[in-house]
Amino acid sequence: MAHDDEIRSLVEQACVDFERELRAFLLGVLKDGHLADDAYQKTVVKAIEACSAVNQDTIKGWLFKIALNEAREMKRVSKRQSRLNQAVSESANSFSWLQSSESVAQPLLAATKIEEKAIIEAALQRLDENYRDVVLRRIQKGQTFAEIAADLNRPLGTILTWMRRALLELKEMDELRRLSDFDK
Amino acid sequence: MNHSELNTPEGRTWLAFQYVSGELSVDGVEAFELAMLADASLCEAVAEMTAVCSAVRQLPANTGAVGNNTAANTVATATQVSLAVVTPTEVKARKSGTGMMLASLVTVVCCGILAVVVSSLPNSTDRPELAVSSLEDSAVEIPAADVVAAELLVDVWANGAVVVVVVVDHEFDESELATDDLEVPEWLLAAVAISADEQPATRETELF
Repeated sequence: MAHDDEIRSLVEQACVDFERELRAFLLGVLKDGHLADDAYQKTVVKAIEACSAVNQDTIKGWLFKIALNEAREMKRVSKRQSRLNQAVSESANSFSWLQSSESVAQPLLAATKIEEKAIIEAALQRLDENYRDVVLRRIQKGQTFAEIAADLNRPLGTILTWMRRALLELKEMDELRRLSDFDK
Repeated sequence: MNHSELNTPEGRTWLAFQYVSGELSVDGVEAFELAMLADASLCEAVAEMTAVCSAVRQLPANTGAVGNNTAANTVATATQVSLAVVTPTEVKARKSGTGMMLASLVTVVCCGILAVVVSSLPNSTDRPELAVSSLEDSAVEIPAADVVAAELLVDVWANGAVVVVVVVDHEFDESELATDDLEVPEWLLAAVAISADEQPATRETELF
């Protein structure tokens, strides 16, 4: 009994410790802030319910799996709902107020804290100019790689290579690695 | 989705980015999610890419474009470059502008005080000689004050404006007083003495 309580508190603590990463992950999967919030809550509940099955050494990966399963389930439900809404809106010759790709992406904009923005801005400044330019054009301006290649008068392959290298460098930067410590 | 990409860190990061930014096909998304179920590090990569993309989207529009010097940029990009170049300069200019204003203000104030001091001591350059002659010829208090004024003037030039503000302002009144004393020569004292001796008697004789 005491062991169960110990495991349970371990899982609860892990949910707190990895909350930021789990939320970011769920946002990346679902691309909707509200759905990601719901999915995180469900993940915590599921994790606590299934805490007896946890291996302490792989608890983080275990939480990610639970989160992914929850997110996939929510996506399925959301797709069904979306199709239903679409059918209703088409039959009613209605408007296009239903979830657009832009509105789906919107919660991503609100996901980052001020400190994180400052860190990522500093990390961007350390990138090679060409890499940084491509990253900003693709992510911030939403240009396609083909558009960027045309704008910069470079082959598409070069642009893609720059983007890949930029992402890899960003991922490896200490500043970004420290991001995960913020909420702890 | 190219499964061989999953074997390298670069490929995994790239796939995570494509997944987050919605560039994978429906099948690619399904395959990637299945891969995530088998490998939690892919989930972490997705979390990282989500954070990076989210942060980059929230950054100011001209962020990072400072060094954007690619020759074939469009007009829009050129505008962005010029904005980005101007922005940090403006910040520096504002900072240095404040400092310059403060320095200018201090300089103007000091110059003004210096001008007042100099104008209030119009013959100060000649004062040492006058003081010496006065010492030889006349009363002791007058040359002493004049010497102080001359020394003060030397200090003004030797020690700079700030010292002038503090020291000379204080000494200014004394030197002014000394100047008043200086303008009371013997002939005036004699005249006052004479009138003091004579006038009351005259008035008295007039009255009585």
